[in-house]
Amino acid sequence: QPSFEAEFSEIILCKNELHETLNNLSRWMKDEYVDKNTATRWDSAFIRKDPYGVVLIIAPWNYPINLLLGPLIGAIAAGNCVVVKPSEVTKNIERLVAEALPSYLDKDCFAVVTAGVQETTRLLENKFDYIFFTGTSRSPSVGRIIMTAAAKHLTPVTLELGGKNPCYVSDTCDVQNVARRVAWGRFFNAGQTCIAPDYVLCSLEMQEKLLLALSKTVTDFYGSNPQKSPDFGRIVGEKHFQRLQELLCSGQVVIGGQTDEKERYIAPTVLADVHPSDPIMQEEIFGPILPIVPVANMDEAIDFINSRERPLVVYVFSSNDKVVNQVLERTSSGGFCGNDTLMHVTLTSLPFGGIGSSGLGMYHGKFTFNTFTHHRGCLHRNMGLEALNALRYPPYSQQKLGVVWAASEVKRKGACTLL
Amino acid sequence: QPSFEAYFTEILLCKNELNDTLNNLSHWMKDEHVDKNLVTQLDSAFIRKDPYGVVLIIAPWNYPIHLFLVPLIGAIAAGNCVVIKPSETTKNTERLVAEMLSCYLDNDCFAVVTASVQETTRLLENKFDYIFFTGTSRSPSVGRIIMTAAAKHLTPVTLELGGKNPCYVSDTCDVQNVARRVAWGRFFNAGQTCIAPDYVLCSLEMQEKLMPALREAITEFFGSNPRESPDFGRIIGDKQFRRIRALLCSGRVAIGGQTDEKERYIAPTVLADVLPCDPAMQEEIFGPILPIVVVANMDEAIDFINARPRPLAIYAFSCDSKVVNQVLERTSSGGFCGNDTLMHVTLTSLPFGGIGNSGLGKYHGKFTFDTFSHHRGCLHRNMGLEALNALRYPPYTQQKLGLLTATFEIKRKGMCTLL
Repeated sequence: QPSFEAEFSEIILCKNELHETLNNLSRWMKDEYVDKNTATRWDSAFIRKDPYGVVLIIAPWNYPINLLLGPLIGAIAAGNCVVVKPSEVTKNIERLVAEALPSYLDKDCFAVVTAGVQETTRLLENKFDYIFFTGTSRSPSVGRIIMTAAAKHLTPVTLELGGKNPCYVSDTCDVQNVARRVAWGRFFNAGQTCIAPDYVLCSLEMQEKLLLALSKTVTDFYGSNPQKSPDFGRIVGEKHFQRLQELLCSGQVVIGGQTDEKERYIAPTVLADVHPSDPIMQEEIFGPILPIVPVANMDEAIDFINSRERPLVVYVFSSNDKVVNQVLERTSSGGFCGNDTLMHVTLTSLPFGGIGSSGLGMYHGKFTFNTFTHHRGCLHRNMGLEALNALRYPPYSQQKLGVVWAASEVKRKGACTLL
Repeated sequence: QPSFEAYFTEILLCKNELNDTLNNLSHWMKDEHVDKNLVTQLDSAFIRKDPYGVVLIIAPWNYPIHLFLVPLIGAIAAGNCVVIKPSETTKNTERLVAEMLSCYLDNDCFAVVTASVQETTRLLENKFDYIFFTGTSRSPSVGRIIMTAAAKHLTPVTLELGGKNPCYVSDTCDVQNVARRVAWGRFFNAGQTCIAPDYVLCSLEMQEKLMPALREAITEFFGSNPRESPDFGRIIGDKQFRRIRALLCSGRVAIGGQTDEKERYIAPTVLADVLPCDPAMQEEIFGPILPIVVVANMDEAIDFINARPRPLAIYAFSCDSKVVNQVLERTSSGGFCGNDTLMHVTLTSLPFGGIGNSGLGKYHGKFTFDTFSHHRGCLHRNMGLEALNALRYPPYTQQKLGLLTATFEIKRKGMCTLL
């Protein structure tokens, strides 16, 4: 990963989560006092934020620091002990985490486990009080394995998985701006981002314009030979490189397409006229290849999106707000961004999570704290004032029922049934 | 169930949930606009409340209307389609729901499925977008089955299970008030309540004092022969009757203990000097039997509670607020009530749910709506204003990084690390 990208995604964004938490934790932690009814008027009713206990955080290899620290910050803030399992794929980070973390965190409460796939399976046989898993490509099946393991202990889970994030580009837009924003999202970290735009849906007309604009953008970003640019990443490993290389025989290669196995380099690539049945449309790409699938219009784009698994994010580009809102309204996804890519997850005030195959649960900012806390409904009543309770005790009578009703009912405000 | 009790739990509490929802839904449904950073100042950032899709609600037999209707209200409010599976144990209610609901709700969006255990297992093989399950006694194991089935489709779940809810009675209390409140919670619906106080922990002294107070409370409530009282319920079925009767050989029967198999009547019963290894302490009682387990002091009571699976509710009775707070502070449970029983769940403003074996997720009031809605983080940016984005594009430079950091970062407010 180019150091600028690492600085941004692994350090700045983590620091933001940390500061956000430190700035607000005393407030988040407090007992939240809630509305009471007539019967409980003299009582103390509040929500207590309790930790779950021992939390397991499993991090992936694409943003190995951010996706480990982000949840860890929230888990600690909520008062839990944590077992961290960094990715075994990024060996240097794995070693760094295993060696450095115990120097900073109390060993009785925090531990790092280094484990391969088989060992992780055995780790999951243990009972944890919460499991937080972030996967990379092919993660829905891994997500199922994690949740099934969690089910044996009734352990609540957050699963940050993935999917094919569609990117609809309408005919009314500033093509050059769109090209830059989409290219940035697709090629950042050589495409190895769970929220990267996975494929573009647009009209044939727009495809023509976009291809020109994308070609210019790739050159603006990485020069005429991206392999020489210090700002373009590489694929994490052999297996992934080979997988990606095979996806190139989809549609036609209009930009890029070059690969170099030694460097695990795949050029920033755009494929045109891709068909839904092509190899590249069968799995999450997780690499620097952008397929364009032509559709007739917005309605066809929406149908296309809705006939597939719900993705982690849906992207729409249009100068016409109505178009953006239509796509938002008529689709379902973890998150959504109009007229840009990736940016919605840089706001700690927005929940980040999937739906359906793309995941379960949400985090970032206060949502991470809430993920790792049990919201315990508490009522503290008076030992005296027994007369108030007499109404509810047997022997029952119609009169008592009437008064109990009056003391605890929530009245309907207004008569209108239209909201 | 005596009709007063049915009115209160099945009708009044449901109406409250309904009115609370109708009163507030337009406000809950709205897009929630969130704080933005410098970069996104001119954008629209909000949380959109989307439905999940098709929700499955499985209800138990103890409060057969309330426990399907309240989740149903929230599921509909959040815009979902719903499949309801009422309990096959309460045949009349099952038939009522199956026949009536289709007259009131759109048959294309709502369905009732009547199913036994085997059929429910097959029902669960289908893919649902959310599963909401409320169980009765022995529900942790059923909960595991449900969650495992859900895991196959990565379906999020809420599991309202059960447990043995401890009730600590300190030496400083108004014994007669305590006796009434505990008896009310234990004997309501003949003990068939997931949040009923399951067993009492107190000193030997307090057990001596509680006994006559409980005897008096029972007589006040149900007369000298509770079997003749119209205000005391019966056990749901033969199997449960026999199961509960078998628990009577624990400790010694100090109050009640009479049974009548024909009526499925078990007298309001209090067992004294019960030992942790006794039958009544091995499973959730779910019947009108209250065991008292003697402990030396509060610390021993807390250790006793913490040595066992986390329950749905913890009750603590003391005139000394510090004692109540200590128990709250040093234990973990779904919910908590000081100086009363059951009452915390009558407030729609408090979240209701378990932790560990007692469950996963929460509902009531707004929490039901939140349970059934997907909180979708949305960012809607401007198609223009591209200059603002230029900082993040390659080619990367140290200067760009500096500016990017300045525009994205969240600063730490204040220096103090103590919260």
